[in-house]
Amino acid sequence: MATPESMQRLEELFHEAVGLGPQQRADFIKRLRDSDPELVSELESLIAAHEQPDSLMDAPAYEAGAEMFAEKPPALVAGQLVGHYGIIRPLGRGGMGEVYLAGDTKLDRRVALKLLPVEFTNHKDRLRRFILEAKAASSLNHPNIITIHEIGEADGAHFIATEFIEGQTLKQLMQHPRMALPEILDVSMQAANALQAAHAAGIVHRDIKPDNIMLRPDGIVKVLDFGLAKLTEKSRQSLTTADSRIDTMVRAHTRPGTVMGTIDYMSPEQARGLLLDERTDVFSFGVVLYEMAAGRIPFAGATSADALVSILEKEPEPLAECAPGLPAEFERIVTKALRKNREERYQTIKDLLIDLKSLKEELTFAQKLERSRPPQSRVGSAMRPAATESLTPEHQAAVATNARLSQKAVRSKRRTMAVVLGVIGLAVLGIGGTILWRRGTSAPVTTNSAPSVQRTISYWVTVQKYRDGKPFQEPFRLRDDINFEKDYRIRLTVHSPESGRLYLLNEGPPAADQTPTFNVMFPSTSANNNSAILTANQEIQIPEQTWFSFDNQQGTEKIWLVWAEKDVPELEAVKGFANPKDRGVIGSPGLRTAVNQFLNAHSSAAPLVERDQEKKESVIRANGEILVHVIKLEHH
Amino acid sequence: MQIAATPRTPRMNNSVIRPDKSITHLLVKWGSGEKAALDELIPLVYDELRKLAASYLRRRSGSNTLQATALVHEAYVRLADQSSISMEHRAQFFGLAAKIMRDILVDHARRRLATKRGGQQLRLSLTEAERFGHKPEVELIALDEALKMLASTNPQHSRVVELRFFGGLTIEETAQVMSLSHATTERYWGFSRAWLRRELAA
Repeated sequence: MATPESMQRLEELFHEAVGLGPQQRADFIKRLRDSDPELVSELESLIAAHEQPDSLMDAPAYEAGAEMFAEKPPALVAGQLVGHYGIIRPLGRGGMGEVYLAGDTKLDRRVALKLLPVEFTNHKDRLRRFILEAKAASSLNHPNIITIHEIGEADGAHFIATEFIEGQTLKQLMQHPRMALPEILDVSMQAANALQAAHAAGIVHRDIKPDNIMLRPDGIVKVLDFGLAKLTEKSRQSLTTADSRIDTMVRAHTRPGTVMGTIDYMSPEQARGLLLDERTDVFSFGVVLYEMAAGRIPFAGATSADALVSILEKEPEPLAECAPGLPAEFERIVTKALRKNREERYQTIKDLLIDLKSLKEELTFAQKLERSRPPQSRVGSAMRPAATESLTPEHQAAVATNARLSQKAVRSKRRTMAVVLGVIGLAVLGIGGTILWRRGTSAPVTTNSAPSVQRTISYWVTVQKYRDGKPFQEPFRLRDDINFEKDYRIRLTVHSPESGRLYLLNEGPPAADQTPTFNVMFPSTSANNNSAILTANQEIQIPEQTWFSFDNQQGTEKIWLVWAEKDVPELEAVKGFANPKDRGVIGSPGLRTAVNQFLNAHSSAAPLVERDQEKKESVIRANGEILVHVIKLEHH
Repeated sequence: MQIAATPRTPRMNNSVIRPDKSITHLLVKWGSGEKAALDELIPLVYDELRKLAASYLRRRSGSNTLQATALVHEAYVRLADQSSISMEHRAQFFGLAAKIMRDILVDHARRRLATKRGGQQLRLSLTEAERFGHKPEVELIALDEALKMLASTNPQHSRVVELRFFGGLTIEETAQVMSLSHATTERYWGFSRAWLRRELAA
């Protein structure tokens, strides 16, 4: 039993020991072992705990316990009606409310439905101004401005129905490796085009940020949420000192009960609560340009107050230092957009756009020059030729963005494939057993003559041994058979040669209603930004950080792998359960049934499975837009 | 015709009380020994921290997320009137906030664990716990227990852990709240952390 005295003695010894070098410490402990053997083992365990890397209490409790505060489930569920819109699934949640994918029951089209939080809509005058502005922007009918179908009210809730854009937000795109200059120019020129049109009509966006810029798979950029910032705008106050300004802004943005918006893209005049004009958009746009190039925002801070000070007073790190290799002209453009004094900034987004265009032309010219040289003197150009002069700017951009994608897809694969038909069974045996890649003998491939589309995906299984709850030895790829011991954990790595939607579900035992239970393995809140979308040539680990382990039950595990060209509505809906709170278990019986029906309906045509023995990888191919494959794990 | 000799105390209307005034006022009252002020103070701070913790997690995916260590500071900036508050009251606030943060987190962990255990158990073959990280609720509850044990022999150490780990305070701030030297605070923290880690590993 520990006493204050024994603890004090232990603490003294502990500090003495950790302050010593390895040799001295060993001597110290050796001497102590003779005099106080019991205390030594305690001391040694303390030192071990002290030196344990990445362990408990390295981060504050609320970070460690972060997962506990899982997000609230979305307010609306699939099937619910808002006016004449039927909710299909949640798309996301932003500072300005929840967004859902919904079906327009009148016009039979899909829309993005944004529900506006009550605290923003109860101010009638502000709401009216917002509606005017949003409608005005939408009526510009610009290819880079999202189309608003309706701003309406149902059961007291205000909503905006806009065209549904399939694709990624710029924010999502930026989470991948840093963007290359041609792509930065394409995206930014399209966004600037949208802003220019809006400014010409007297509309200021006020909230330009990567979440409000979307990229469609065809490369077209859409700017969202024009005028929305008007809803949250505070009445302007005359403020005297810089400090109280900051304080006010912090308060304004952290008003209890509201979801805090980001201040990262705010202009200095916005932070000061001044009257805004189009030059605020120039600044915010500059922040986005900087972030695309540098991979991080120019004005950051540990707290909102720090970030505000940074926006108001600090100069960003030069791009030449944090993103070397960019043309000096690009840096000049960004710097000019980010001038704190708006009189020194680009006065219009049009001027900025002109400079971006000239830069792009210069680069294109340089490339042409490069190509016109004799082949032997040519250096492998990193950029694709933009031989698209006859196209509109939007299409040029689209072509260039696609160029990046197709470039990625070029990967030579010289491998010998052992072709195996049917379902591959992976047998995971108990202690001392073996894992076998069984050659399945199930139904032969039925080649349907109708669909000419073929889908392909490959995956492999990695095993990590565990000892005493800790990883033991290096992980390895599963080959034909290995000795399988208890505490082995696995991970799937999926490689997508083409873009598509990936879903992985583990089928569990049947529930009371005889329908199987399902556990969502992918997508999840901990992987791929909670999205099923994989880009061409993406490689993803499932789970991303950790490993799947098995329980002690024996039997056959079924992991359903669905690889589809487009969103699968039944499976998109399961994302609502792929969070720490639900632990991936599909809790809704209705959804379980729908998922089960979908899987059964699509599993009749067995895909073609090729096994690359050398790379320990399986390649699966199937005709049609949806590929469904079962990975079987036998657990004896 | 006025009957009452003294004018009635004006009724507080239903609008939101400006929090900065009341918090600062309450801190001062509490500091001068009015224990009842604490009863009013706790719910205010509790509410604020809970909201901040939740929004912190929502924003964690954002690019400029609020740093974890700033949570208590942020609550302080928002609740207290900076111009009229002394360093002493600031320390007082941090101390209180850390205690409350511990309550919030441990309480939350217990409730989550209870619903998991009590809820309908679906036995799925692949254990999903790993995917969402080691079970933070189990770890937090165990840590809370171990910390109580530490408090029985070393109350000062336990308080340092509360401020550092639950409150997210720096060594310097912790030293200020505890009226300890920087070096002593660091020693207490280092030893306590090793001791707690070992307790939890056992």
